[in-house]
Amino acid sequence: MPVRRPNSSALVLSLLAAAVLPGCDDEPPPPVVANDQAQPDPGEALRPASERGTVPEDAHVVDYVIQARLDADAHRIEATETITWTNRSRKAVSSIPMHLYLNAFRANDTAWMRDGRLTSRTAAQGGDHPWGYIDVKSVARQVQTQGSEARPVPLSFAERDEPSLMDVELDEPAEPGQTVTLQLSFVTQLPRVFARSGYSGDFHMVAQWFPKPGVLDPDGQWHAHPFTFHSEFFADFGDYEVQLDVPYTMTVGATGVRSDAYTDGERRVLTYRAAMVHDFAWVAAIDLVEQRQEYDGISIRQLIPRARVQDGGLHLEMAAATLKHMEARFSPYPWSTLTIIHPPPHARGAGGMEYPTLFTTADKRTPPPLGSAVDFEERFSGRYVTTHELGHQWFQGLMASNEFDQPWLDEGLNSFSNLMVYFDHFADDTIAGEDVWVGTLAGNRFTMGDGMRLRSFTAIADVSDKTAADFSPVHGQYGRATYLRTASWMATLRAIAGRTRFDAAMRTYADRFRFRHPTGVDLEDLLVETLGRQVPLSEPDAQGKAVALDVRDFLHQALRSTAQVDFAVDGIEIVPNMAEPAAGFHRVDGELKGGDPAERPSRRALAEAPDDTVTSLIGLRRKGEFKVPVVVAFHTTDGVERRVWDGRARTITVELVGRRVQSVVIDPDGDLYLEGTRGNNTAFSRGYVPDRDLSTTVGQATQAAALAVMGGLGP
Amino acid sequence: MNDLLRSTLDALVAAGQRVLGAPILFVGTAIAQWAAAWLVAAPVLVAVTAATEGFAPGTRPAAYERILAVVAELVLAEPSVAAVLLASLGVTAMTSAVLWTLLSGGVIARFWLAADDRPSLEAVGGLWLRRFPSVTVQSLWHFGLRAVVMLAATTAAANLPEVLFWPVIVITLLLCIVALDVVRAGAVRGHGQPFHPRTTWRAFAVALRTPTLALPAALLAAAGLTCSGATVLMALWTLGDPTWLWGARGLSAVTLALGLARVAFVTHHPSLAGLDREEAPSKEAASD
Repeated sequence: MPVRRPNSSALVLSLLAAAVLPGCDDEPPPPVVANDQAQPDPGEALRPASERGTVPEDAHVVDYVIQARLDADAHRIEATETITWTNRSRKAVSSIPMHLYLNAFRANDTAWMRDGRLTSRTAAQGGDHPWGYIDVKSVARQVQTQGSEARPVPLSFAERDEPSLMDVELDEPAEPGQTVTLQLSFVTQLPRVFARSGYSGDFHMVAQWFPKPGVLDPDGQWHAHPFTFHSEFFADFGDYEVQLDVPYTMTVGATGVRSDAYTDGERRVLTYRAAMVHDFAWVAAIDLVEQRQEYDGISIRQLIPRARVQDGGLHLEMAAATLKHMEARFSPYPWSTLTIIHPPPHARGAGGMEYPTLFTTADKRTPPPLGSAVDFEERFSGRYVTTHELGHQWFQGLMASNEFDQPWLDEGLNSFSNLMVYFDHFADDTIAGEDVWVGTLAGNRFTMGDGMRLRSFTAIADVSDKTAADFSPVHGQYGRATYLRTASWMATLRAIAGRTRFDAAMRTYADRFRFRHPTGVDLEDLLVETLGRQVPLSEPDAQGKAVALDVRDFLHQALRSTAQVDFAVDGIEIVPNMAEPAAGFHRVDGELKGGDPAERPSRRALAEAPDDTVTSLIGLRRKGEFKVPVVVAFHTTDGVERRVWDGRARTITVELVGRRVQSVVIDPDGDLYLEGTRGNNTAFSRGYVPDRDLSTTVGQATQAAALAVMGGLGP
Repeated sequence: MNDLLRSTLDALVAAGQRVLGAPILFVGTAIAQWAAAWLVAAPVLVAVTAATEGFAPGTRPAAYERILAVVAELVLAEPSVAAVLLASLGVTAMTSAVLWTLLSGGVIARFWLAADDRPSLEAVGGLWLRRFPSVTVQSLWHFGLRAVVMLAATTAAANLPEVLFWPVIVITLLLCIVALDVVRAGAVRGHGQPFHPRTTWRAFAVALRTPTLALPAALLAAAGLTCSGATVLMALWTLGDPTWLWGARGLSAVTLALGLARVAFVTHHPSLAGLDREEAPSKEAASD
């Protein structure tokens, strides 16, 4: 799914982070070729087995053969479709639920429209042809008996009350292992694009445009959900052969490889084949320029508006980098092609969306005036969208989780993988460990980690592990809970449990669930299995207690609670060491003895006392509800001591006898990506507070701004 | 062309000398601006201190190296800090615009009367007060006309090639600044109809028609705006470095000097008589 548009606060951060401006790509754009496809696609839709890895045969459930004709003036597609579906469950099936996703835009009382209220992303529904739909004209089962020609048997079918679903009643049950061939004819009317699919001018983004069966699990349970505002898609893998009949002047990009093309008068007929994918999307438009690049045998084709051609190189570079690092981390990309679409500005509602072997991206932002004077640079806009949408080829193009039931499983894991791609791609230019900058302003850098932590401020109202339909757009929590919180907890768990071990665990997840439908439980069980239920984080102390991370508990808090991570240093006190013997009365031989007054040194005397005569008392507090072990660094006059706090108690007091603490830093390595408030993680002992504190800095900057204002409005 | 350059340089040198000849005005104003900036920043300082001390009682977190993230976190945690900052700067802008409108007559009177010798405070004050109504009214007319001119320029520039947009806007703004100086100086010197908007309009015409006036004044205005921008850049580039503040103060003093020099230059320019239909009154008459 699309990258969430930043809210206003995020936008401010974006500028700081910018959440976003032009890149530092000075290389010339790749060569521009003619309007139609200038180079042939690879012969096969899948890469060679030695490069793509194994494709499990039992994952192959449904094949499609579609003939579609686009009326570009009416923005309408007339099509026939043959679906060959195999019952891979243990039960017989008498009806097949089918998705008619585009019917979500048929009227304003559909489930999608009730939530969306006629708007989505940056666009609003409107203009000519505002409505979109799939009008199924006929459904038949192809029956072939021995010695006779195949004949169609008409089947009854009916839309549900929620028209994004219909049920096809089979004339006889499909037994386990039996293959059923259905023939459909239908008309698809594209809406003016405002939510992924549709047209704008001569640009046609054709997605979710054909009837498609739900997913039948091995127990015979169908998974076919109504299309709601936040829900996306879920389907079985199979092969596609799609013939597209479009006006001759149009450039076409589509899922899979182009296997045939010919001209028929004013029309162009193109045939595409795709293998082991779970959807098919295509674009047809005038004046899209084609750019090409190859990465490790994968043919990358980019279709970009002529006015943005100069940005093409940036996206191709990022696509190649993303392929490289995603393959290294999450198993090989199995398909032979990748198509990148840049919707024109008037069709932004189509941007930032993934389909198998094809995705739409977003443009790099134009740098602000005089940006270079303040060293304003960013490598987020455009680049990140390309990385994000390409990352979806794994989550959920390959690991095809149910986006309706558990949207965090694809959006969150993908967002985490995007972070990893940035870490890997910009590894030569890191800040604070492996973190990398995405924005600079006057020599100050803003990192991916900064952005992730800061946005954690707002992820507080809803849990991640719930269905897409349970997120109301009114609360604005969907993106925060699914994309951000998931990526944040994964990055946190990786940092705490060990980066190498976690990366290995995620590779195991990818290898195990390629071409499968993994669930959240699958991921949780795998993490516990590979990381271990308890991850030791410290050596046993004098009492034999060691701090360990309870992985199951961590996952439970991360996924099924709104608990926030927030630790704070409550205070630091320097006191004299306890005298020997202690002052006061003590019982000796049955009698109270002593009672001499204790010495109470002044603050100055304490400050000047030898370090080994004082004790440092440090109060640490867990302000957030999230319980997670954390490293605390105690900077003393004789060095730095790091301890792991299990982070479970509300408060603890650390006593360092004979040592003078200068400062205390909680989570010094920035491992807790879930922690939004880091300002309270650092505290200084009296006498060691640095001159450059935040209030002075902001106050001085305000003075400068005021002087500039007065100068500008002066005499 | 050489004559124009020579006369421009001569005029600028003379304007600089007039600023140096008014040390109390210059130094006093500069110090007043520094004090005002300190006052403006005080509520922000207090707000940030309060916000950050709330994080960890008795301690203050450092502005460590990734200052952008620190500031962003502060604003997210305490949005009121950003509100205080913006409000302070907004008040600064409004107060500055109003004060300069009220005080500009006095500054012009100071430079006009200093043509021959050091003027008395009474003479400057007297002229300022006598011309105060007309200077204020003409300033208000000017701001209204400036809004129209800037809107027209922006609209026109939007239809030009992109590369010309900002140059057109900046040149128009500089012209407006010079026209404001002309109409105020004219009001103090007694040129033009004191309260009629036609005088404001004529000031634009005078500025446009007189390169020996417009060019040096616009250069001084551009230099002043550049210094103001440089103050912001310096703040950004040295964020968190406690030693840079004096640099910003120094730049603001240079900005002030350039502005005063521009006013002095325009005040003594002979083209101000163009605001009149009749013969311009003599200096003695104006200073009566």
